[in-house]
Parts: sequence; C-alpha cells; structure tokens
Amino acid sequence: MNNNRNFMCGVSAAMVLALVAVPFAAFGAADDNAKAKSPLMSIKASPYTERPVENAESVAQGKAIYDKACTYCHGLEGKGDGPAAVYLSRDTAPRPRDFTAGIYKFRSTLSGELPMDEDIFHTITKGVVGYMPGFVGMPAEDRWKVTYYLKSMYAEFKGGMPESITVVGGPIPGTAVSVNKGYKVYTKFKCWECHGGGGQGNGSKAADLKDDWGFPLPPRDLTRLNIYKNGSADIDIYRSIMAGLDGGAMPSYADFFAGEEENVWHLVNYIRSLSQ
Amino acid sequence: MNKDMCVRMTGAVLLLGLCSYANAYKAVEVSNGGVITGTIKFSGTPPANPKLEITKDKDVCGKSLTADYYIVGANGGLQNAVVTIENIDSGKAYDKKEIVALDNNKCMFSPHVTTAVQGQKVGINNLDPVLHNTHLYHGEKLKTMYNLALPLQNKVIKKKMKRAGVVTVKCDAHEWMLGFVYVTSNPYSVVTGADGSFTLKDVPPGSYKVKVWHEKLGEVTQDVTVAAGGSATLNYSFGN
Repeated sequence: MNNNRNFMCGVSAAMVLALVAVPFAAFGAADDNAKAKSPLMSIKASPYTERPVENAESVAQGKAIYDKACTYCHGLEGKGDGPAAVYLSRDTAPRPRDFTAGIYKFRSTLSGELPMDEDIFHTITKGVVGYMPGFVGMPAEDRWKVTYYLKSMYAEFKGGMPESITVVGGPIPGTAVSVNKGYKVYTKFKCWECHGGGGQGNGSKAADLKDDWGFPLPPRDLTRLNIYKNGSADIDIYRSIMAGLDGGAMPSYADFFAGEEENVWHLVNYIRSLSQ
Repeated sequence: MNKDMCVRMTGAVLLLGLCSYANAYKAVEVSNGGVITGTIKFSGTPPANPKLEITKDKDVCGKSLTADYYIVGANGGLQNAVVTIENIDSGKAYDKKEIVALDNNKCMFSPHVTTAVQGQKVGINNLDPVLHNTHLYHGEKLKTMYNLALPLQNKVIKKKMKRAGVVTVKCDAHEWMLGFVYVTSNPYSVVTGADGSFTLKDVPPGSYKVKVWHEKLGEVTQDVTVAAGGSATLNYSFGN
C-alpha cells in the first residue's frame, strides 16, 4: 500500500512536471521542425546540412573569428559602431548591424520575429551588395560559429528558433501577361507610393523614410536589380515583400497577400522587368 | 514517504513551474472589490500642440493638422493619460480575445492612446485611401516590434502584444503620425477621458502602486489603498 502511494505521488509530481515541461518541449520540437524546413534562401542548401553544435565552446570560437574579421565595422561589442562604420555611408543608413538590438532586415520570418540561423549564415556568406563583403571563402563551419556568436549577443534567441514564413507557390515564367498582372498588383497595393511609378525609388513618400536609428534610408531603386540588398533571385524578392525589412521602412505585406500569393509572384516578375 | 510529504513535493514542483511563467496574471472572482477613481490634471498653461507639417496626400490628410499631445479641458483635466496598477498578480477576469482597435484615420491614429493587456491583439485598420504602414516599436526608443503594410482600406490586421510596456506607433509613410499602445500585464489600466477622469473597477482590497503615464509628461507612481467594497481616490496634477 505504501509503495503504491509512493508510486502515485511520483505520478502526480511527474504529471505536474510534464504539464510544466510541455511548452518547453514544444519549443524544442519547433526548433527541430525549423531546422528540417528549408529556409527561403536562394543559395544552395548544401552548406546548411552540416553545422557544428551550438554550445559555449563554438560560441567562443565564433567570437575569436568575429574579433578578427568583423569588429572594424560591427564593433568590439557588436553594436555596429566599429571604427570603419561611419565611412560606409556617412550620414545615411545603413550602418553595420547592431547585434545587441535584435533587429534584423534579412529574415525568412515574419516582421517582428528574429531571423532563422540560416538567415544570419546566409548574410555572412553572401554579404550585402555595396556594403558588406561576402565571407564565402571562410569555411562554413566558421561561418556557423560566427552565427552562434552573433546570436549570443541578444538573449531572446534562447527562446527557440522562429519559424520560416511559408512560401506558397513558386516563381512563374516572366511572360508579358504575368508582368502586366504584376504591374496591376504594384499599382493596387501602392508600392509606387514609396518606390515610384517607374520603380526608381522616387515615390511621394520616399524622401522622409528613416531607419530605426534615425538615419535616412530611401526606398530601393527597383530598376537596379543587381544591387537589391536582400538578393535579387525571385525567392529573395518574394521574401522582402512578405517579411519586410525590419529596422527600415519596408513593411511586411504578408497579411495582405495571404491567400493570393500568386499575385506576389506576378509582382516579382514586374519588379524584375523594371531592370530590363 | 507520507501523504503530507507527497503533497509538498507536488507543490514544490508546481511552484517551480509557475516561477518559470513569471508575471502571469491570475483571474479570480472579485466579490468584495473596490474602486479607484480620480482625475488627472495639468496645472498651469499646457505647452502648445505643434502644427504638423503635412507634406503629402493633402486631399486625404487635410492641409493642416495639429498634434494631439496635450489635450487639457477647461478644468485642467488631462486626456490620454494612462492609469494602471503596477503590482497586482490576481484580480478580475478579462477577455483575452478582445481585439484592441487602432485605426489609421485621416492620417492620424485613432485612438491616439489606448491600452491592451499582454497577450491581447491589436486590430489595425486603414480607413484612408492611401498607403499607410503601421510601424509598432517596443518602448519609446523606436525598436521595431512589427512593421505592417496597409495598402488597402478596411482590412483589419491583428497582431499580438507579446510584452508589457509602452508601444510607440508610427507610420513611415506619414512621419507626423504618432500613437501609443500601453501594454500591461494585468487588466487594471485605463486611459483618461476628455475631462481627465478615470475609474478602475473591481479592484481586490489591498495596497497598490498606481502608475500615471503621459506620452510627453512622463510618469509618476502613487500609493493607493483600496478597502473591501470601498472607493479610493487618486488625483494627480502634472505641470507646475
């Protein structure tokens, strides 16, 4: 009888433990799912398949690499205030990312969410056209370790990896019909108010736009496909429209295009056509 | 192992669990609740509200707008101050699914100041035939929380308020637009009316720290004691 009672006590304690633990376990599960899910990246998936374990050791190794390769722009403490930062753009945005603020432009996640690990890895790999060099020559393992170190500068990354937004459909051939549909989307959804009627980044709202740090940040001149900071592949443009560029003025259109994602792919074709 | 020990063990595990959900507000039945009521004022002459420079969309926004930072009534009552109980862990129930309305109306946010309980969603709507983007920021230092495009009219976008604290609301497309959502961890929060008055109902008896916040005038915390079924008064004057 006594044994039985002890057993029941164990069960009740375990049940409470289970109740408490479930949300955390769920976080873990979400984590695994996110890893399994393909992020919205245009570069090949192969570098992502193998990655070092994320622990204190790999973070420390990432710091050692960061201290040599990244501090001139991003600063010793990652605040985007390294000695070279000011020379990148003087009085305008963008400045180097402040990793302590937890705001990332280039994400596969919804506005307000942190980026996925793959997003950070992707930016390190490809760089930012016109601003940040790509570190594709650095071993992938080291790029992952730097990714982990950057994450360690902002506590909320410990809450679990955010989920990628869902890509519905895929690129459509850029026929005249599709480009014309995309033009109508561009008009209806008022992209022109910032990016201008001809896509030259000279819309009526363009002049006043600033980033979170108060630096002027004009909208992208869409007629120059090769300098899109978030990449110029179809999926990159889709990502910018749906996720927005947090920290800047470009908002997320995910709520407005939910259920009519095909229109985004037409819009992508129209945007591409502006550079032809 | 006896039964008592078993209960304690289970309790300890339960307590540990609760601790991991810090700041969780617990809804209970408040049968003997009191009321905190009063008026928030501005004494003296309030600063003039600046004229907002309307640089675009004048046909929709109007040719000139005046900021709504200081709205002071004839008796000095200050509108749009937030009054909230700081240290309350349990009390009246509230509707977790209530959508807190936030409209873009003639290139101003309406209401200018509103409150929400942590976990509730704000429902953002665009009543204007122009592009707005509702850009919500954590705190008053402009750190992006959400940046949402609102290209079309009358489609409500719902977003959860995940953290307690002041949320600043702006529109990159119309840089003069400014609003605030004051997010609290409990439902005891209210925005003062046109005469500066407010009422917090169903407050369990006890001693509380009550905070008064205004977007331009800052914040103060006052001690208020509520008796069972009683009515406590909190009056405060900003300014001179």
